[in-house]
Amino acid sequence: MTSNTYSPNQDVVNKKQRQKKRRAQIRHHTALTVIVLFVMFPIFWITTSAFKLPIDVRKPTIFFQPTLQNFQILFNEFQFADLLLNSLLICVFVVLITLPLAAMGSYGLSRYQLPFKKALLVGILASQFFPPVVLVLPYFTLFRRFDLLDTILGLVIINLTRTIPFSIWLLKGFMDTLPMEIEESAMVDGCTEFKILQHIVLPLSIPGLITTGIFAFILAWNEFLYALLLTGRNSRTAIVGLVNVVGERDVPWEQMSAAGILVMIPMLIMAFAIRKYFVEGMTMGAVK
Amino acid sequence: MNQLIKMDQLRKLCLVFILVVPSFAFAQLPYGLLEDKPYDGTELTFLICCPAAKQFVAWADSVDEFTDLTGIEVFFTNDPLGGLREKIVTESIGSPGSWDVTIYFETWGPSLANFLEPIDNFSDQWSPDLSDYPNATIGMATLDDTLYGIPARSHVMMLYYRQDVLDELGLSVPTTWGELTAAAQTITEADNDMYGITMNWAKQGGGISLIPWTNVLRSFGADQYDADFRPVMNSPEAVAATEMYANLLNYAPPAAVTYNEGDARTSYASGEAAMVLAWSWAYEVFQNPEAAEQVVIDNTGFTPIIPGAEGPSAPVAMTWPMAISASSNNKEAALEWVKWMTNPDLDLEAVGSGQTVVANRLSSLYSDAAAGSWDSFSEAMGDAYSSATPLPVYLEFPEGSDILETALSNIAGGADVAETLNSAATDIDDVMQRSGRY
Amino acid sequence: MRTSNFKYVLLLPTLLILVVTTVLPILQVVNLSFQRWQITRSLTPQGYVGFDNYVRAFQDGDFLNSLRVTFTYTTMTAFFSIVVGVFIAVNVQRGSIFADIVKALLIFPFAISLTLRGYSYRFMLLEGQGIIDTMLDFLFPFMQNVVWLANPFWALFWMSAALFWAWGPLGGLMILGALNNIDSGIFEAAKVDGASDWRVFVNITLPLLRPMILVVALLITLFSSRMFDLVLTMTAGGPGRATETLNYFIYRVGFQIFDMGYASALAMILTMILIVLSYVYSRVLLD
Repeated sequence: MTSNTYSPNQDVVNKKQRQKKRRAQIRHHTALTVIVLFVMFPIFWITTSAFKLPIDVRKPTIFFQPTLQNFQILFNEFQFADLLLNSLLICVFVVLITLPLAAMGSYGLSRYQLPFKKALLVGILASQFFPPVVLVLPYFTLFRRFDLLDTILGLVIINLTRTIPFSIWLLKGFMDTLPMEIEESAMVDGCTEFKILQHIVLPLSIPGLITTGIFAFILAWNEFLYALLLTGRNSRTAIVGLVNVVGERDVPWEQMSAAGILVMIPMLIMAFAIRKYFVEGMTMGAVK
Repeated sequence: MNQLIKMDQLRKLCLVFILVVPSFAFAQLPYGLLEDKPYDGTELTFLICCPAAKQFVAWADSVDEFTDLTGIEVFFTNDPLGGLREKIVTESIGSPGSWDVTIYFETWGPSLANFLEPIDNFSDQWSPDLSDYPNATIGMATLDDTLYGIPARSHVMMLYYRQDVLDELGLSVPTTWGELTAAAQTITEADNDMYGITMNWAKQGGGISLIPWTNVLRSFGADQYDADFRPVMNSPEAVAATEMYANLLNYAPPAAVTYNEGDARTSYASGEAAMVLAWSWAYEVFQNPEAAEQVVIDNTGFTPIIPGAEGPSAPVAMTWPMAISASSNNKEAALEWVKWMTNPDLDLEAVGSGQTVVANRLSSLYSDAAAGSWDSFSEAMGDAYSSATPLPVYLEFPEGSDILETALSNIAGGADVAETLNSAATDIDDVMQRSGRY
Repeated sequence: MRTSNFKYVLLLPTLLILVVTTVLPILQVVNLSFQRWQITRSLTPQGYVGFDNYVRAFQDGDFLNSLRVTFTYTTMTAFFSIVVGVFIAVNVQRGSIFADIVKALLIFPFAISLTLRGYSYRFMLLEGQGIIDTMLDFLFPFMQNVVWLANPFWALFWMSAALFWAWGPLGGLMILGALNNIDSGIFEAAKVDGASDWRVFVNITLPLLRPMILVVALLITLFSSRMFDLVLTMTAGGPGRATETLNYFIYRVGFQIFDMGYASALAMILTMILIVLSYVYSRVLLD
């Protein structure tokens, strides 16, 4: 009983199909609603908490007297404006340095035969999973030698050690999917390898580069341990400020939520602004 | 309050006098600060957390005055509390000299001792009046008979209760743990939508869930360790005390097993329960309209922990000593800052102005100014300190406290008390042996 | 494949940075892992002890416990992330305006720092006060008496939830890409043959998505096996030691007890495990 064979009961079939379609539609919308609730509810709740007074923050209610006091405390007592500026500065530098280096590195790994290539790839990935706790002291020694403690530059460098390996992995997967024919014909036409990278590969990789950039930004933005231990009053970041509201054996959740929103907003704006590229880059990069 | 303002003005006047008329030969700087700005232009780094704590705000506000007097500039680092100890250790090892003064939790003392310059080493230059401090807090700032820091923020455990709830049910303020249990049961079973007592049983790290329990242990004549730091938390008295403490969970909110210290405070402030064992500074929370329900603010009573026939009244006290870095390049200037920060007027002013309930000196707690701002609470704090006992301070604290917090967490989950404490004692014994204590 | 020297020019800056900032410090850690260094007792390492630190690890009940916890936690997180991810991908794929809006939201949870996530979930789960607890009590009255973070299983589950809340949607985006690459003719053909939606999903969609699901599983495994922030902010390892992960244990040894030698050895062990794991995964992926 398939729809492309004629039957005298065509009307009934059509009606049944319409009903079926409608039910599918309802299922579809229910599923999407569930997804939206799952994804957005905690964010919604954190947002409402940011406008609560301590006395309301633990009550499961959305009816309360809203206040901006938490934000005022953050800007007045915790110098949050400075912290956000520091974070922004660090992340912009990190992204600007990461992208060209990672693009070059991943292109090299994607297109060329190298000795120990596989070991190199696994090594680059493995370096990411070394527990930072034991690396703090070696970094301290290193930074003191080069006078990088408590500087923006120091934090940029420390973040590069995380963003570059990650970006190389993401970008390599992306570049593997780019067709090689164009490059080969360009090579035949006498293009230098650098020109090929510059004029053919990079423009084609823009979605991948944007995805990678966002990842690098998010990683650097949320980096906590080094930002806490290798900095002083000159280069503190916003994420440290977020944890800083934890007072004497207590977490003022309303202040933390407010700080969370301040920390979250720049990334949400960015993620939203370039979501199209992001989805594209994410999906292409990961399929090898 | 009025009196305070007057005092403040007087102090400012004094200052003007000092600054405007420096040529007076007998013009002397207060608190033993050195004349003639010998450390003029020195910059000090003060490793400190919690910039929103009322007392620390007062400290930050006093920096300018200090700079005027001594020419020394002080910068607060405002680190997160959760990373302060890591910060002190890694900075000291990785970048000696990067900080000059800090404050720390007394329990960290032994693990920080290598990085601190004992205050005693400056005895030829400065002799602070220690008799004005409770013995318990001085005791916790002292390691191996050497004073490492000056108590700069101290607390003592209190029992808070809702007078209105007790009155309504015809109960009197409990004076023994037996009475407390009975009262908690009556309140929970009464038709008032309220639990008898709220507690913090959650593992929180830093040995925090051990604090109220230690109060109970000591009231029963038991303790965590004996004088040689052999574990005795599995003695019959300790087991009985712990069983009683665990039994209180029946009259506490179900969430109490996941409450940490802050949750327990909030739980009481919101009117969920009628009693709580908490630090003295929690009174600030229970009197703050933004953090506590009005009925709690109006009806909160307090008494030192725990008066009673079953054992000594031995409330636990704690303190943040202020100490100087052993690797500092500016130790003498740092000492000036410690003199200034621990001066009696600053201590008195903070509590007397009603800004905070925290005071380190007995003279401040028993002052008229404190009574003017906090009624009888400051005096009750002073009384609590007089019988207060220090938390155990020992090098193996990070391991020992973790084992004990885990044990309490298991007991809250229904594990057998004696068995759990026995195995905790065995584990701690191993730790102590590995550490070479015996 | 080409073979000029250009490849070395391409890789040189990256390798240089990695050698100085990652390889050298890691070598220092390797060196430390064979020494005794209780930071709080001595400002410098206290001498070589051979493999003592490694041997100690495998006799340490807390270490073995943390291995178990980490394994359960990682498996749980990867499983739920993929279930959520596939559910999202399949439902978002059907083009509609609503679906497009949902797609734009999927990256949001990932952008929220783990610290904030941990504290927020803890508060939302507090018995009798938290919003999640309140809603679940309403939906499932028989679970009213469960104190989520006091129960060994549920505590681990919610710690995992705070992670798959972000990795599920992100994995969903990745799986969506793979889904879009599948030739839709296959589905039509199956439908013509009268297969139900569910059968199509199980017998055709899932097998085709397998490579992508493995990639997602690899990423999640690696990320969740080094989980630390959520433990610190949600449970501090409790109840008992039911949520004490390996990385939290290393933090405790390194930064609470300050036994850097032992912590370094533990870090080496964790890294070895992860290298083996990524090797196994990459073999599975290539086959």
